[in-house]
Amino acid sequence: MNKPGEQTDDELITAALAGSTGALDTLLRRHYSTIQVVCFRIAGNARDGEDATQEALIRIVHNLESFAGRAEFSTWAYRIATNAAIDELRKRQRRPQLHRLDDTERPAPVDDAAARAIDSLAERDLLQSALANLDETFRITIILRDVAQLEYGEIASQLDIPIGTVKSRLARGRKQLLHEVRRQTENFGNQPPGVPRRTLDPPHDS
Amino acid sequence: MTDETFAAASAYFDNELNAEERAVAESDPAIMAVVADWRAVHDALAVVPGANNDQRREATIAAAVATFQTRDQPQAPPPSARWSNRSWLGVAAATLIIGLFGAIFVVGPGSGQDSATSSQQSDTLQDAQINRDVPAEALAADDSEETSATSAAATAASTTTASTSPEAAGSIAAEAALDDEQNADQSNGSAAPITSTLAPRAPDMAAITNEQELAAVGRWLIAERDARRLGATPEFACDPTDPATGSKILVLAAAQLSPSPDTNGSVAPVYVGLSFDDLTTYAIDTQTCQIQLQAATSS
Repeated sequence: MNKPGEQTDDELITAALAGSTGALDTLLRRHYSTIQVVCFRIAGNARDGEDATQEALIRIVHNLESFAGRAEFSTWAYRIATNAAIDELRKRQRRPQLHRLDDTERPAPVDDAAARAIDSLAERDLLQSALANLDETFRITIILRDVAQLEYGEIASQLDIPIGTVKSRLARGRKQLLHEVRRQTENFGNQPPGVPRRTLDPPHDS
Repeated sequence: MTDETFAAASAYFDNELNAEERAVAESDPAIMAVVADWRAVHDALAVVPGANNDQRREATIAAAVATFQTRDQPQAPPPSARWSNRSWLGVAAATLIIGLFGAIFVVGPGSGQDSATSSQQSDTLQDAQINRDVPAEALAADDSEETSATSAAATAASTTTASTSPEAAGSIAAEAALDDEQNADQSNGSAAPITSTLAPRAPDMAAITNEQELAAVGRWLIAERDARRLGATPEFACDPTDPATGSKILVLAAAQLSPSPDTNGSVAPVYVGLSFDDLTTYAIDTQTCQIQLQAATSS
């Protein structure tokens, strides 16, 4: 939604295609944050997310002329971001993962401050870890809905699936993600900010 | 909690229920509890930890805009300068005649190759342009299927100073890519031993026995990077991402771990990599991808 007096996406695109780099800059800046979050949440970590974000922005400007305007620019741009992030994910999946020696073999933190820093890092990463354990189809559907805020129909079009499947994936994916968040929270022995434990599913339903 | 409860909560959250269905949902504490839980996760999903990196955002947007400008460089002539249809017909006729004569005086077999080379160079230029602002660390994440030319382009781009124009950076990157292609041709594309592609070895890199020595190697690598003396990144088959922190590890050199309590008593060839996110140096087993040892490294 544009603020009063603010140029619409379509106006900015027209100006950009006419040669206004300022308009292009404004357009990209307007959608940068959402593109970044979409890329980060799909790619799974900050660095891959950054690579995907950069790739997405470059693909957007390369294909701007072909944007037909039949959909919202945001829908089109987030589709490109999703694909860029999936590509980044695929690249990573084709390589064997680094893995650590058993935790028991790792040296203990040198002091309490270091231990607290590690705890903070782990807590911050908890939601991402939960997301990583989700089936990819659920994860992408949830991100398109909850991060990119696409309508069911737009998600259906983007993923080439019926709207009923979108609804089903959202319900099942959200259920699984809440389970995962709870599991990660219990493993971590802490409660993530903003997620009340009281109403999550009891273990026998998982 | 049942699937129906989650389905109703999900639809309620997305405002996909009609008034009657909403009323039913709101009267069900189980549904509303799920909605509340999901709202918390939904809000958290929209936040990227550590994403408020203004410098990164500005660089990414500037790179995209520069790409757009570069792409537009071969400007279309203004309408007043466009040729009339009659002019085009004349040119088409002349081209046809020249083409017929050209077909008679056969073109040599190398012409197709030239065309392919030209196409490759064009692709390389595009790759270089895309990778122009890729930081050096991203090299470690290069897909193993990517060409060394692309990596060279990214390397050259990453070592370009900030004051260099985007066009110049792209040009430098392209030159590096082409040089790399030529080098690859000279070696008939055969893979050289990994150690031959690495930067010069530091005296203390032959046998790392503990965190302190690994950190020293890390400091040396940082100095080498700053002095732009690092060689090519060794081929690295593992995903260079620290599973604990998500940091990208730039693999820079090969080394050997010596047996010691710190190294779990193992002797193994390792790659040494650095994460420039937190300046951690890693020793990674070349065969198993295990992180054998890591050390904090200050620059």
